[in-house]
Amino acid sequence: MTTFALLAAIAAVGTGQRATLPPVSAQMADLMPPDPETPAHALLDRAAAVTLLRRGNPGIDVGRRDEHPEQMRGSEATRAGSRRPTRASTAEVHGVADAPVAPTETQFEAPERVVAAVRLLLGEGGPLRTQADRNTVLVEVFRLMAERGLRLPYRLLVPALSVTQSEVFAAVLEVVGERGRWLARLPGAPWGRPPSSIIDERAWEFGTTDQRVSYLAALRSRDPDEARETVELVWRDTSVEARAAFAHVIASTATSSDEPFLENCLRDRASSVHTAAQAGLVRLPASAYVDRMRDRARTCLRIASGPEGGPLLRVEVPDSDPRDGLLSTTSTDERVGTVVAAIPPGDWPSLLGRSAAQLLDLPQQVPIPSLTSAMVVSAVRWSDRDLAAALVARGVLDAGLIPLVDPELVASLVAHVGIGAFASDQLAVLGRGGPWSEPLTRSVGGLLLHHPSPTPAEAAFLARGWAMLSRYSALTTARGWAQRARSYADAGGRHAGIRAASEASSVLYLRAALWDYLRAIPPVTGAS
Amino acid sequence: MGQRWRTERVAALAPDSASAVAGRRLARPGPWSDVGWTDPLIWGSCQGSGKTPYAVAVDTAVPTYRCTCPSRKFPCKHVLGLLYLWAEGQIDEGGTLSPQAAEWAAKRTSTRDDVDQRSEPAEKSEAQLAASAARAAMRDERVLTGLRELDRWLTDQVTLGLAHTRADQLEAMAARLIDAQAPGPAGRLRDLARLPRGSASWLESMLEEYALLHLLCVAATRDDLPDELRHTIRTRLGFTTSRESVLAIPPTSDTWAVVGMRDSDEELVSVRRVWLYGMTTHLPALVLFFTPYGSAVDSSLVPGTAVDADLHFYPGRPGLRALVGARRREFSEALWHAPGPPVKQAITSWQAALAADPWLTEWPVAAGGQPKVEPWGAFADPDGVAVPLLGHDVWTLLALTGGEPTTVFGEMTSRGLRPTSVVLDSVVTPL
Repeated sequence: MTTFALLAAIAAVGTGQRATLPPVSAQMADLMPPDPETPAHALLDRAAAVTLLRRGNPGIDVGRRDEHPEQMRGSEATRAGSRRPTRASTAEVHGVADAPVAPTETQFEAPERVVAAVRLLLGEGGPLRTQADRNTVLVEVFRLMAERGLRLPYRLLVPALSVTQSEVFAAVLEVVGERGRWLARLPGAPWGRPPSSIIDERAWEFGTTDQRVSYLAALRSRDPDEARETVELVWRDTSVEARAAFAHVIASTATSSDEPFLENCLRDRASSVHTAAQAGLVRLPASAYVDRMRDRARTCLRIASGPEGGPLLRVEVPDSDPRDGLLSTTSTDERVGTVVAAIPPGDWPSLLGRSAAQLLDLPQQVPIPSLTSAMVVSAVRWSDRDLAAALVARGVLDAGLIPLVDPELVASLVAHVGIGAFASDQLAVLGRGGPWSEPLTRSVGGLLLHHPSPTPAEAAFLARGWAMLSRYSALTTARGWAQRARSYADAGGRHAGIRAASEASSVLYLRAALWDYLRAIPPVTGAS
Repeated sequence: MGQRWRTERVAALAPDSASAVAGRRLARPGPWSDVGWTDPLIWGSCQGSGKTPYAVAVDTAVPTYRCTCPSRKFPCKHVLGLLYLWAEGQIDEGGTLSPQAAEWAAKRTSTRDDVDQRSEPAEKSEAQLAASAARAAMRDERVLTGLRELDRWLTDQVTLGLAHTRADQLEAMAARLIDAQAPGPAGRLRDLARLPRGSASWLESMLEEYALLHLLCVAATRDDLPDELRHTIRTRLGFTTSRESVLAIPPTSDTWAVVGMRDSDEELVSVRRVWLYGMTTHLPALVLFFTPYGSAVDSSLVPGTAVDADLHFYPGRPGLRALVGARRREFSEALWHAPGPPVKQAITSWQAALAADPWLTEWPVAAGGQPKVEPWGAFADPDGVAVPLLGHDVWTLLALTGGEPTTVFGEMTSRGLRPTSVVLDSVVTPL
């Protein structure tokens, strides 16, 4: 215990209780008056002397140890888990090897006008009112910058890395350059850490589940077989939560050599492990799991003749099999959905003699609502353009389908559904499909412009529509839509759509300006 | 042609962060018309919510502002918006001066002359001088009585045990010190009353502050101290020195780099502390600006710039607080070529300052060295002498230097160095 801590402990109970004080060093004696009146005076005199001595030595260890000294010596793993910066003291700095210095840059700094816009967007100011709008534009401009091999200036690294939204943070990491990535990895940094490329076995041995999962994911991307074998070694002694997380890592990047492991997972006690494994097996069209699903499809779906002679889709309930995801507690409809979602779309002609799209049109003996959503899952998983087009043509809009179909098709669907579509979540998925094609932009914009005197409900839909148009419209058309939104807003009226159009024009003008600054710079080939 | 400001300088003018944000939002061409710039005037019309646009004008030389909007913020968001627009290069030199702006500029020139003439201090009569001397003697006596009471209270607290101390006891003692006209120790007790009790360091912070207050009581009652130290003690007790008497002290001339600025809001006033560093004398200085809460804070010293000026240091050791006297020339950049003194020397200067004024909390230093990231957050000179780096700006320091050796300016405290500026390519750059 240091002298000061001792004095503080005595002061806490009071010199009335404890009058024996620690001895006075020669250095302290120089700073103290002689002959104190009372023990309390003596204590304060000594405390003042020690205070002066220790205040004069910043960082030098004279009893002011920082809160968590063990962190300073802790392994990289424990430090990585801690958000709390640890502070060095002089004693520990002595003799430590020189600190690493940031590597040389490989990207060029972005043009000043782009930087100025990003600076505004990262702050609270600028023309965009909501954080969501600012985030959308930031992600877009960072993507354009990354494609062109441009980075942010050093001055903006801290504000950029301090963004909290994970989607923006991921985009930020592409444009902070070598120095920004160096900064992001420093221990004690107040922001989220990028996925580490350094594989530290201590994290696997001693880390938390999250750290072990990161380790496993890094190892998996380097050596998939070794990663799987590493998991198999510890499987028996691993908690349910960790088993499910490890199975998920393997399943999300499954290849045929992982099938035995994943099949084994189906015999695990925990249903969370089954679920993770099923998600991997379903990606392997030649797996026994998918074969079992094919058998089930053959037996439980039949094409019979209906009462009027036409074909009719008949359904028998598949037997429950918890390991394959067919739980006894689920309905017929859900079980059929699970089976259908697991079948690659191209298999249907050989299974039932009809294409997936044709199956959608067959009258159903009993309604099977899950059939459509299961087909969507399957179409997205196998990137099946025919099935995707068939689904969209039947009015199904899903974020995953949009990249698979002709933009004109989505656009005509939007025009067909009309403004009421903005009421539902159906059109919200358009946003998740990323930037819109030009036809889709035109189609949505057309809907918005042709409602001069909307009802209050319609005005609310218009407001949503403008907000979406401002964020997702094709960049190449942003200036035109900015002008149209501006004149729409200026034309007057007092409904919610007017205000939204005005804000949309701000967003669109900014996106257009950024595009103008960046379009002249050619994209770098091979940029991530 | 005049020099555009940096956006940081515009930001520094905002009376509060809400105004800064609102100003930023107006920094786009949309709402503006009839903008123009003829050094030192900038003007424009801003379309607000009303029918008539607001006429906005700024004289960047002084600087002063005018806006026809009803806002009581000063400068208002329209002024800030116009300045941002200009600072970002969106207003070109030229344009037709609006009649309103021209009229205002003319009026301003004449009032400025008036102010200069008014500043002659009035002569005081002999009777007035005698009365003020009597008042001063009375105050000295009251302060001494207050300090004797404080020292008795401190020793009582230590006898009974600090664990029993309640925040309201500290507040009550602080109030008695205010009555005794000793605002210095009163403020320290108030700060102590606000310390979160749960923290592990609470007890040590309490004892440290009690010890320093005890030292102040003991020192103030001694009459065998050198004059310089007596001045320092009087300043710590809360005696103020009049502006006129400070300006009467012979000045120190140098080109002063503005190396740091920190704003804080205290009761009813905003305090802006500006750290200066003499480029030739290597003397540190602190200039304080007090402004009523919500009004424009003085922005004549901008971090990253330098000014060739006379500084009048307040009496007392170590010489730190100063007033700016004659200003000869301003430099938009502060250039710094020599490597900064090693960290060891920065620590030595802090120790010397602390020896002269044990109640000092921070001391501006320049230090040459390298930021260390392992172990986290230290600044070390080539000999391996290091101090911990404090504050959020550490990350900006690392971003700007990439961990390469450099010179930093900052506040040395008992816990380490809080960096405020860094030398990049020989330019003093605020963090």
